[in-house]
Amino acid sequence: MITLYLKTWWDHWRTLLAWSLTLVLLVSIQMSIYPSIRENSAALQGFLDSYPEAIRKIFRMQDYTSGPGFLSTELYSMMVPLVLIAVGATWGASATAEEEDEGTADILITLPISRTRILLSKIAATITVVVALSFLAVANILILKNPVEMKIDTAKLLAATLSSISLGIFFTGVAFLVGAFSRHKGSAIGVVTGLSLIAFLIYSLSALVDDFDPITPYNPMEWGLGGQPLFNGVDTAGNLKLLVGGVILLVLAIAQFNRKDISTP
Amino acid sequence: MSSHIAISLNKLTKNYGATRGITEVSFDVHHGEVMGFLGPNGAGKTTAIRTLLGLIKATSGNATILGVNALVPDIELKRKIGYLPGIAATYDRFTARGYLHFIARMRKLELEKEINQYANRLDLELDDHIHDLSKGNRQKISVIQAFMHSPEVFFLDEPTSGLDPLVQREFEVMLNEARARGAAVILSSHVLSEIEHLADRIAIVDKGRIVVVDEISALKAKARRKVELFFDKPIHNSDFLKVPNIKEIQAMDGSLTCVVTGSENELLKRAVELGVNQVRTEESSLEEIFLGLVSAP
Repeated sequence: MITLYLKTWWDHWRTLLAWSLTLVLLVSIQMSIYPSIRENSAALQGFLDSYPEAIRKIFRMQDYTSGPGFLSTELYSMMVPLVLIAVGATWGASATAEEEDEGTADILITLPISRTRILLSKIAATITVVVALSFLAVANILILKNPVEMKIDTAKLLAATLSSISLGIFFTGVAFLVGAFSRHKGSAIGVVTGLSLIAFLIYSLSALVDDFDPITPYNPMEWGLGGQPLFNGVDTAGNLKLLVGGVILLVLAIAQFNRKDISTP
Repeated sequence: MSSHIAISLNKLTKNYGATRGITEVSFDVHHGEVMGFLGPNGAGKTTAIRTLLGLIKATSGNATILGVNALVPDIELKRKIGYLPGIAATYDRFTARGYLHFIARMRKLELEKEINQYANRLDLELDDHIHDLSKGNRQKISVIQAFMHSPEVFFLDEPTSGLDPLVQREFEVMLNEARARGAAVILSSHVLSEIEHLADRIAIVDKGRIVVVDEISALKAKARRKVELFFDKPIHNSDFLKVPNIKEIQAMDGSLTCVVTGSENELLKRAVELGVNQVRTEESSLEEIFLGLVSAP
C-alpha cells in the first residue's frame, strides 16, 4: 500500500509544489499588508463601515482590522479552504478516473492488490496532502505574526485550521465518489469543482438571502465556516458533520469502485 | 501437454454496450498450452479477457483460473497472472526501469535481475523516460511487466502490436519458454499468421460468440483445399463421381482438379487405382479458414 501511496505523491508533485507556493505566497502577501491595516485601523474601519451591509456580511468583515478578523476575511473564509478543497477535488477526482482515461487502470487493478486498498492508498495520500498544506499555512502565519505584530490566539488559529481540514476531507470524499462513478478525469474534476463553488456561493449569500435559510443547516460550507472558529474556537458539531460526512462519502466511493466496470481509453 | 485445465470458461456472458459484449463463451486452456484467441476487431476478445480478469463484471456464466473462481477478486490468484492489455498504457512520468520496479514492488517481489534480463533480450533501454519512448518500446515495457514474475497464466491481448520483427521473434521465444514450463496462455490477435505458428489451438470468436475451438491442424483438415492430380492417360469427371468429400471436379486431358473438404483418403485411393503420377495440394491458409467461419462485417 505504501508503494501506491508514495506513487500518488509522485504523480502530483508538480501540482503539489505549485499549490504550496501559491499558499505560501498568498499567506505571506496578506500577512505583509497587515501592518498597514492595523496602523490605519480607525480610518479603515470607518471606510469599511461605509460598505454596503451586504458586502460586509458576504466577506464576514466584522472586526476586520483585528488579527482574527483580518485572517478570517482574507484567508480562512475563502482562500485557504478553497485551496484545500481544490487539492482534494483534483486528487480525488483523478484518482481512478485518470487511470481509466489513460489506460493504466487495467494493469494496476490486475496487480495483487484489492480495489479497496488501491483506493485507500490514494485517499490516504490525498488527506495527508490536505493536512500538510493546512499546517504549511499555519506555520507561515505563526512565523510572520510577530514581525507584523498580529495578535492571534494560536488555539483559535488551529481551530480554523481544523475546520479547513475537515472541509478539505469532506470534499475529498465528494471527489472520490464522483471519480468512482466517472470515466473521465476532466468531467469528474468539473463536477466536484462546480459542487463546491455552488456550496460556497450559497453559503456566502445566505447572510443576505433569507430564501437560503432552510438549506443552510445542510450546507457543508456552513459546517466548516459558519462557526467562525477564529473568533469562537473549535466548532465541534460542524467538524463532526464534515468528518462523518466525509467518511460516509469515502465508504460509498470504495463500494462503487469495487463494483465498477473499468473502462479503457 | 498436460491434461490439467488451467483456465476454464463456462457460458461466460457479459452484456456490455450495444455491440461489445460476449455471449456464452466456453472453452478450456490447459497447462502448457497456448490458446490463440482469434477474431475480427470488436468481436469480443478483449471483453472476454477483461471479464476473466475481473476488470469488468460478468453478467452470467462462470470461469475458473487455476481452479479458483476467477469472477471473485482473489489476491493470491492475481500473483500468478501475467496480463498484457490490448491498450497497454504505462505511467509516462517514470523511466522504464522505475515503472517496472514500481510494478515489482506492487507485487512485493524483487525482480531486478529479471527486469535487466528481459530488457536485454528485447533490446530496451531501461533508463529512458517513458514519454520519450516509441510505441514499440512502450510495448516492450508492457511485455516485460507481464513476463517478469514468471506467471502460471498469461493473458496477452494483441501482444506484438508495434514490435519490430526481431523483437517479435524474441517474444515468441519467451512465450515458448513459458509454455515449456507449463504456463497456460490466452493469446488474442487479429493477425492470423501470428496465431498460426504460436498457438496450439485456436478459439475463433465473432460477434461475441465462439465460432469454433480446435487444433490448427484439425481446422486445416476440415478446410476446403484445392487438389490437383496428374495422370499419364486422359481422365474424365465421371471417373471420380462416387468419391466423397470432393466437388468442383474439372478433368482435362491427363489432369484433374477438385476441391476437398475433410479427408482426402477416398480421393487418393481412387486416384491410385487410376494410376496417378503426381498429387499437388494447395494448403488453404488459416486466413481462408477464418474468413469462411466469421460472418462478413
